[in-house]
Amino acid sequence: MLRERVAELVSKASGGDLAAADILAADCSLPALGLTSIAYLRLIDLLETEFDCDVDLDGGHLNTLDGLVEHIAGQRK
Amino acid sequence: MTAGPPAVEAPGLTALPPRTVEFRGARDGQAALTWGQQGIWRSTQWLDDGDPYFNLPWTLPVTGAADVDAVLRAVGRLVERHETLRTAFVRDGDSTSQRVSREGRLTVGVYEAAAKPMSAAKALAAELAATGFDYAAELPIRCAVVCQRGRPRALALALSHLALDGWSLNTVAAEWPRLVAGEDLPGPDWQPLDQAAFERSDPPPGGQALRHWRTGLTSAPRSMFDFPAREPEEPRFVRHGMDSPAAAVAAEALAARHGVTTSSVLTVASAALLGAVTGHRTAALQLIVSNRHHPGMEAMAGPAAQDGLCVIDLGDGTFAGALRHGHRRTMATYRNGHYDPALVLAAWEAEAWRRGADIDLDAFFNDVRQAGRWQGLPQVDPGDAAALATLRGRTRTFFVGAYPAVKARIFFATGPAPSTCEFYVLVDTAFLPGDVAERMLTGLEELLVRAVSEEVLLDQVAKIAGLDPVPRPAGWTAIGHDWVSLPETEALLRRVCGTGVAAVALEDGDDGAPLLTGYLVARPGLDTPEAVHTAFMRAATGRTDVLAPHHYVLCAAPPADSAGWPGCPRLAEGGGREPSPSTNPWER
Repeated sequence: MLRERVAELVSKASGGDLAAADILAADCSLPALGLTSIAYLRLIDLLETEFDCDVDLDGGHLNTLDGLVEHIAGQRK
Repeated sequence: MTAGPPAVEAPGLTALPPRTVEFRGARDGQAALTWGQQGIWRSTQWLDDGDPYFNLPWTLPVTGAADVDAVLRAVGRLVERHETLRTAFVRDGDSTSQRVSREGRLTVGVYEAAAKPMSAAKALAAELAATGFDYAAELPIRCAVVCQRGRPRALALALSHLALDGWSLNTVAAEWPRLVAGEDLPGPDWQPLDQAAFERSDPPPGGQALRHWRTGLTSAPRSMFDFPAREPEEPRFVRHGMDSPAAAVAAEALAARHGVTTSSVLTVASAALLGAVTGHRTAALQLIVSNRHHPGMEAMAGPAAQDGLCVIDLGDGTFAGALRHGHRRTMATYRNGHYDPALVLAAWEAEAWRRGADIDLDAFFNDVRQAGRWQGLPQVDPGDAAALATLRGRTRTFFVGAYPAVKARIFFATGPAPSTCEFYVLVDTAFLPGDVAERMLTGLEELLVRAVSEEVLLDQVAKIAGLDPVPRPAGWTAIGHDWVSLPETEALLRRVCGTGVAAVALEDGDDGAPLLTGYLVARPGLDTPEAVHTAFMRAATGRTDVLAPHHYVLCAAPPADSAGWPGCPRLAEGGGREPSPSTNPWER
């Protein structure tokens, strides 16, 4: 569920340019899918609001959907 | 509030009687400037009254069967919708505030073009923008309708940058055809007055951004330009541009490979080139942050951009490693670009006081691409070296212009072109030869293309890019992130103390870090470390070659020879950094 929800938020942050289904199916990084800097910033705000967490900008977890999911799951423990 | 365009004559245009648009918005109001407005306002204060530098000439096409009345109604609706277009900037003593008028009149010129109405509108817009705005008394918009055979074909505009930034222009451009068509658009629900109130809410926003700035200020070199200045060229500031589809293809390949954005690739490549030329492993750039990812700000018409501090530790490894690290630093910078400028300025001055030098951050990067990306790049496999080499045959570099005064020592910027890497470099020739701007452009392309096919080591960047690192004569030494001329520092200390008797020495501090110690003979009025530090900082203002001693030793009399300073009887010694600048007479 968390993975699907994060994918929806990535899609929302991209202004709908990226479809959640494509994000879930992708085997490449989010920037490779076309996620831009400003979309990343929107995404971080969305994640922090929705999951009441602090997204750490250091570390490679920002690059991929699974990295983000793992990072958020770790924060919620 | 009223405004009208100055009488304009443009070739190929016949002036028809001007028209008047009356507007009546939803509200009026007055508030302090938003932080974004403060940034532009401060820049305008650098210039003489009436200087048109911050005017934006602009044109909007008129399509379909709209007549002049429909276009004038659309202009009225535009001004009614966006309070920023009916805002004056009024001074009250030392402070300036934004004042929104609810209603007023705008005189709109009407012209008949003999041919090419869009080109004629562009020339007309340039004419309209050639005169500075009276920010206190004039609407920040001037416009004129350009017709062909009686039918409107374009709207020529001149706008004050205090009213709109690049993002807002896109917002207006998207609304324009709908307004001309008579569509009833929902009103924007966030205006600069709302933004000003938000920025003064309790607790105020921007705390995290202020912490980001404080951390950056302590880790940034005090200047990227801490090397001997040169005789500047005339005019002093030189800007070159490049159109390189190959650089764009390579940047996209690198971004995808390393999980970063193309914006970060261009930022880190710029930092690497600057670091290679100036001899820094840590680069500090100010990034122009649009601040449009915040809720509300996205749809607000009005200036929102602020400068963000990006300190990138390039390290001594690979360009790929620097990309991954630098991406996180650029993201953190874009995330922390919304702050109270007065608080950042105070932190900036406090760090200068502590460090013992002006903190010069006049190296900038601005990514102006819409949504921060390219679209429609040539379909070239970046792994195909021959194809990429062929694509490089389309690269073009060109001279853009030279200017007498710019508040930057170097300025990297993309252009808005969607299907090529349009890139610009401006340099201050008091520090770097003008041709470095052009070589940085070709060097950027070479660096990006090379990094696609091989591992690039950072210490090879200057060679790969065809750039010469600046030479530093004997006597220059690295202290932390800063390069310092010890002879110039000693000469300045001698001048400051007036007696001509002083010396500086680089010693080992208690923590093993290099400690610059200044020895001098005390005299009345200059008999405490604090007084000496105050005098030194004042004398060193604007200089990038000297550093205030970390430790001052005030002696009663000079030694017989300069090696004898450490053994002289001491009257007082210390860092001289107390009291803090907020209570110190030294102020810039």
